[in-house]
Amino acid sequence: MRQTFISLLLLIISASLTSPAAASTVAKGAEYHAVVKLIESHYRVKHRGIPFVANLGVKTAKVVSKDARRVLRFGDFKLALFEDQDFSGRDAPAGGDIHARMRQTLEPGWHALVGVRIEDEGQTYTFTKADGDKFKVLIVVIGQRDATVLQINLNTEEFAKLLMNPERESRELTNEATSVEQE
Amino acid sequence: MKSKFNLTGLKMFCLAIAFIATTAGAHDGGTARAQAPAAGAQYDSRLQIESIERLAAKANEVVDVNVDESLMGIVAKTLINAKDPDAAAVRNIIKGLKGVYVRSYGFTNEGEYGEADMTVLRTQLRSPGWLRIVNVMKKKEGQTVEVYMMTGGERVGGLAIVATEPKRLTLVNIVGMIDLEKLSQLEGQFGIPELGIEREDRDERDGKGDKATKKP
Repeated sequence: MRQTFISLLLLIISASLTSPAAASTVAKGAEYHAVVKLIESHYRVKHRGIPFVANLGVKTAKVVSKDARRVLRFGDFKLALFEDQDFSGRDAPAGGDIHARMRQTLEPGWHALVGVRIEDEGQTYTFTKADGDKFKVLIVVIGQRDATVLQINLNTEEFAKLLMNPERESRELTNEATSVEQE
Repeated sequence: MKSKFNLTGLKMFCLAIAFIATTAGAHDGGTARAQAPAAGAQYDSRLQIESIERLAAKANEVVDVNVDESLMGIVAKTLINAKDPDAAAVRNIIKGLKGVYVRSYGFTNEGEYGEADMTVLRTQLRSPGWLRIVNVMKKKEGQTVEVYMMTGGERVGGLAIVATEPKRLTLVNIVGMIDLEKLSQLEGQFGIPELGIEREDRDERDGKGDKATKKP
């Protein structure tokens, strides 16, 4: 009887772990975390992670003000902040191009929309992926001493705005997310 | 044996006919494409630009933008009911577009890139179908702007803009049908830099051309 119960329990656990829903939960955000890890290893830095839900009314580590929610163009988002660290790339692996490494990490399925690197200013990389009627957008902004990794979901209208001005919109979306985080 | 031979002969004959038909079809297609691809034909104005991407490693400024056909379709879809005149204008310009690809590399010193880095690109632009329509040189500053178009009957099936300066190389590849007169309206959108192409052209037509390559 006890053996049957244990077998049944194991069966339920294995079924729940292998179900598509569970797989989806496990996979959710995997790319975001992979990119955060990549930046950590590439620049040998550590992030302060703030994955939180802005619009769902779920209790989170941060409470977002009503005003902030009103102006925010996206709902849930994941944000990793790297503050006051060295992004000069002096310690980066030889021949390691961070954009190429990100593209490799995000393949397949993610589209490299824009990559901008200006020495002494910073870098902006944006990747996109269709997700049902929404679009996943992953934006990496790297400055001299700070960096952010942001993942958001955009509706079609907001996504079109991003496509028309990829670099500017990427920076604005990042600014929105970081300003909400600072409240 | 005889019947086997005949069967083999028939097979050979059929294969030969199929081979000739295929070869002729391919040849016809190639010729037609070289002359002027029919409207609605598969666009091949997408350049293979991987060859110049190697310059990114040497450059101190890099811009890399890729808006493919599916993304372009999303923008067009959202602008379908646009009432704002600017948005409506963009909708009209992009409705035939299949993609926009931008690569721009800035260098600290002169001579960090050269014609050798552009060989593959230039080979593609010399292939049938491409036609150079603008070639502006500003010798003093060492600037050039070349505009190539892929013809598609009466319409343009794609564009390539190659802008070079001693310390900068920019390539813009616009795939799909585009109205050349409206090209300048795309500047600043989809990552396309301000190249001042329209103004150059008009100035030259008016006989006032100083071959400037940038808007003031």
